[in-house]
Amino acid sequence: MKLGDKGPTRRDPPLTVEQFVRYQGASGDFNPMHYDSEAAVARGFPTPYAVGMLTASRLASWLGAWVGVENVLRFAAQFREQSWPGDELTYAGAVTSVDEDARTAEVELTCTRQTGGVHVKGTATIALNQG
Amino acid sequence: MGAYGSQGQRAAQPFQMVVELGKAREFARAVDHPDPIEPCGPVPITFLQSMAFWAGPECSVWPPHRDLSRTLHGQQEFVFHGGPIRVGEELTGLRRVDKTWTKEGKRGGVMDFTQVITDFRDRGGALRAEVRTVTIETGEPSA
Repeated sequence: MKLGDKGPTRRDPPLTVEQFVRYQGASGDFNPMHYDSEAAVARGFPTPYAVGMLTASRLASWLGAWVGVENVLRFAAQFREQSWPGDELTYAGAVTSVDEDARTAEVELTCTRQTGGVHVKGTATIALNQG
Repeated sequence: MGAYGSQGQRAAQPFQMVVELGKAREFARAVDHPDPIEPCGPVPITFLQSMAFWAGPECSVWPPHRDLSRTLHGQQEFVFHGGPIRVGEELTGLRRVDKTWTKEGKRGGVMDFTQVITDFRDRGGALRAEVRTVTIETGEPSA
């Protein structure tokens, strides 16, 4: 990996509430705002909204497919605007710095809605292969 | 008072977490993990988020029945020491308040930030991972 290298940008099919529920079952986060339409509407939302850790995790998976899961030393996700069922999210990232002595690279990542709005911003530290 | 107390934070109890194959596969499917999950193999990068299954209310730095109506999840970070977490590991997690700070909100009002770190140690006591959570308390109900 070198400065400016980019991962293979990917646009996913529309988000579904089934994906939210599947993640909630896997993680143990049962906030009803992500699956219960009546509860979401009662709180002023048009529909249930995406679990931030689902899409952050999918961003991490996209990163893992690009650089290799075992090379990810650190992954951070910052939650920006909400995402909704039907959103088509695009995952992208690039190398922003390389530390040759430490044999690590820093990458910046984005998960963007079809509107152009940023849903999740990420950073990560990647171990560079020897040699 | 240190980092504790301004919003009722307290010392937390440790919890055990066993990295189970079936749970890791369920999580991997939910997050579109790129690789098959095998015994002793790496788990998804954010898998430690499923600590909710292992940590009871006594393991939180927050008091029980906390009002979350003004709380936003700002950031989540995973730092690994000694490679990725693997299926079969037996970890002990312990949460602590790392720091608190405040910012002026864009529309006025003060936002209170708290970073809680969960340290995960292996059976020998070596630090394996840190999960850092930033939450934001806003002046008005957020969600």
